[in-house]
Amino acid sequence: MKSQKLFRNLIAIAFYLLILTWIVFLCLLVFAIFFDSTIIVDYFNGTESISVNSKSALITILIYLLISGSFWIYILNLFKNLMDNLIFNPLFDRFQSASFKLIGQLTIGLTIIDSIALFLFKFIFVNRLVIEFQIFDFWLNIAIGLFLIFLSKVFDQARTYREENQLTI
Amino acid sequence: MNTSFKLLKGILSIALFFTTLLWFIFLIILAGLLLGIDGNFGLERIAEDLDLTSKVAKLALVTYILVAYAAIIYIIYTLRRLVKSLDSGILFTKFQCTGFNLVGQLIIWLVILSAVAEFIMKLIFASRLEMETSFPDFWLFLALGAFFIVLGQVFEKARIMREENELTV
Repeated sequence: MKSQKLFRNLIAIAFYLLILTWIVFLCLLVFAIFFDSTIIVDYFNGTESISVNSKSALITILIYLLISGSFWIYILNLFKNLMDNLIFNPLFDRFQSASFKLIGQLTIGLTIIDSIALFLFKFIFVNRLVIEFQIFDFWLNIAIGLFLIFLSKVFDQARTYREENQLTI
Repeated sequence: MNTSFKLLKGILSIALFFTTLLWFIFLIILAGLLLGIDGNFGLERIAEDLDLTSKVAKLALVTYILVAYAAIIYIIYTLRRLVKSLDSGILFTKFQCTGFNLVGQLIIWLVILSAVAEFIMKLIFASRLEMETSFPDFWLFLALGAFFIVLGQVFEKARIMREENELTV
């Protein structure tokens, strides 16, 4: 029960932190479009992972981060609901296996789209935008996504198994 | 279960192969250091902003990496066995319940101990050794560990349910 609560709290914290980050990026985008973009460009250049050298590159990356971020928020929301369902509802219902499958597919899809987007940005904004790509994170996300899809199938099997048992009784 | 199972097993096998290979490389580096061979062996790439003038700093870093990699190898190996066991068709065995629980606990302990070890090394080697801890990774792996423990508990509940059903039948 402790680990269930810990995991649920971690997901909830990550969910709210991601929403907060999303709002910050939205404010940065509005500020970059309507006010001064140089301050934000300077801020990004101070970090290690991203280096931006033009306003168009900055706006593109911010819009992309907002779109991608909203999907990650959706995934975390699904995970939060799934955890609540696993803790408080009967095990192996349709919602649980469908959620595992959807989360797994979305994680894999988003990871691949993120990598393609990074690759395209490198071509479009040569020397104007440099983003660090981490191969380990890519494979970790893919493995997590696959594991969740695999788990959805296990839950599906278990549901069938439970229903058969109930019919036998 | 074929596609996701095969992909997941493939990724886990590749990860197991590379981590084992890296472990052996670091073991050779440790042997080289103990035999008194001078050089950094590319260690400066692992710990950025590192002044590798002290042999003790190098030895501590390599030993820490070896222990951490040994734990990672064991985690990946257990995960691979778990995935194979889930694919065998027999669900909710004792091995699956304890396996998920063990993997979850190992991940959490590894994450906490590696953070503590990095902190202690920073304290001991002061200006000689400086390592960067990735903050989101810490929480991501902690959540992953807690998720595996939750999964272990879900499987345990299902196992009890299955056994009760079998007794009823």
